[in-house]
Amino acid sequence: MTRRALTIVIGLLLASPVPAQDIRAFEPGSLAAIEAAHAGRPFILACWSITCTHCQEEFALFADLRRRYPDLEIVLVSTDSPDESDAIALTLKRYHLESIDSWVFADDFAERLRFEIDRQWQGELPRAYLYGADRTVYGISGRLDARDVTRWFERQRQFTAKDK
Amino acid sequence: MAAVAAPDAGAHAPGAEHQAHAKFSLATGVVFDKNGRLWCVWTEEQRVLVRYSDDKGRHFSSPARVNTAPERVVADGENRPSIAIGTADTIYVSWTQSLEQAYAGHIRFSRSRDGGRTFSAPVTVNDNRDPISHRFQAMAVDRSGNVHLVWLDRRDQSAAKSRGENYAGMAVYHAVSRDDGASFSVNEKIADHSCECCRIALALDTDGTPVIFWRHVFDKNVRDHALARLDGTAALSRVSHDNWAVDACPHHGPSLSIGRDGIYHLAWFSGAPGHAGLFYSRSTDRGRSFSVPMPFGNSKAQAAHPQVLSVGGHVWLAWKEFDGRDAAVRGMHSTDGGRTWSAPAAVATTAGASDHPLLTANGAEVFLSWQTAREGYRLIELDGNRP
Repeated sequence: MTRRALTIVIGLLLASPVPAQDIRAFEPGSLAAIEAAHAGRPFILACWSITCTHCQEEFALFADLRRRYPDLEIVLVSTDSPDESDAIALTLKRYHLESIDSWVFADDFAERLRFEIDRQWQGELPRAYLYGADRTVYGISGRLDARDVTRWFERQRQFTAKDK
Repeated sequence: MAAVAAPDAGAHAPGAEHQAHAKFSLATGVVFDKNGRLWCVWTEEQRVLVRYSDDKGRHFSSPARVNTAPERVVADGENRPSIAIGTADTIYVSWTQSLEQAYAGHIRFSRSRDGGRTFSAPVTVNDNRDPISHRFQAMAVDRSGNVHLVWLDRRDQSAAKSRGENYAGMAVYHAVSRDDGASFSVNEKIADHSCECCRIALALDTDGTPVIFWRHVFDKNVRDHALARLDGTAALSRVSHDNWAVDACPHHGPSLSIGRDGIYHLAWFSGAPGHAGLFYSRSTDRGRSFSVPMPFGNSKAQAAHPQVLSVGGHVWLAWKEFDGRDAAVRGMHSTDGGRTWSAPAAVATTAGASDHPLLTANGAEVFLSWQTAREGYRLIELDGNRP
């Protein structure tokens, strides 16, 4: 990297207190795209909001799971709005989740997005879906239990290992 | 305020421009005054705005600005600015100001004594001024003209945490103004351990006593509902036994109405596995006992945000559903004080974003008040036939 390029990079870092995290727009159709991107592999889809006091309680769990299981894919969907992307990014940074696959509701008609994810989800947060490799999906309201998630993922690993 | 604007034209229209700023909120508070004038309060661009309509929402006055200095106003469905009219026609407005710190807020209050032309400089009502959560205000004026504010407050949780102790949820606090909104009392705690982010329902009993109904945290994390009369006895009744044990924010508060017959009407949402949905119950003994909860709404269509309103023996329920394409407000009607109910029927639909449905009365007339992104503000009269 040239000195000039380095200067520009540092300048950008200084100018922007918010981590440059790509938070993607979650719109009608996004769920299908996420499911397709993880086809045949287990993953966790976790919905949260910056205004939800219980949501951040499970971020430490996500950070820990990612350390222990680098192959566990976690997708975060914030139900806030794209103009809150800075606050979302800052919150994720606090929990060292800058590199996590992160989306934000980008449609004011939130009922439509919720319906696409799960027609019986009433908007309570956190709300997570454990997607099995065979596409068995468990929906869970409330803070995830570390032991339950670990047990689920260990079983998923055995299942996918046997498959291969 | 004299100028009349066409409905949905002007500053309040949620057009693309506002979506780009996303500072416009659909969350709208309403009240009819004794002359049948409809008052609306909402927020836009860090201002709280008030307008009125003398023809049931067809035309509105130009908006009056409540706070001259901009501040962040919370308005997101469960949080909405409140408006109430005093016995001497003073207009009271209250809202939650959002602070920089996560979840933090202050309960703000302002009044107008010149018919809504100008408003006093906003004051903060919570006497704990730490940058923590004081949010989800509800406001009502009793027969003597006292202005009651209740809200959810984190001060006790915060104090417990600093002592290294656990404290479930938040607390419900109350303040009252006995001088037409010029000043507020020392804050009084009504209950420890409320749920953190559900609106509080507030209504006045026939004897003038404020009654509150809120989602409480029973035991470790059971998010069922409690009721309290603010009569100084601090007694709390448990209303619902859904046993929804969850470490989550439902963002889904209950509704309470007390008619002239003194019957308490209560509606709420529970997400308890195996029996999630909306429920209605009534109490004929001022909250000592409650009828067996009646489920209503289609839980497979996101039935949500129930409202109940009792006017002269008639009772209405309204709630929101979504069928995969449109959002609808559906309603039910009872002519016998909530003992029996009509079949549910659609009152209004929209194919875009919308506020929670609100029920409001002008004397004996009952209305659905509903702010929608596509059709703008809608005020729809309900009668025995509709729903």
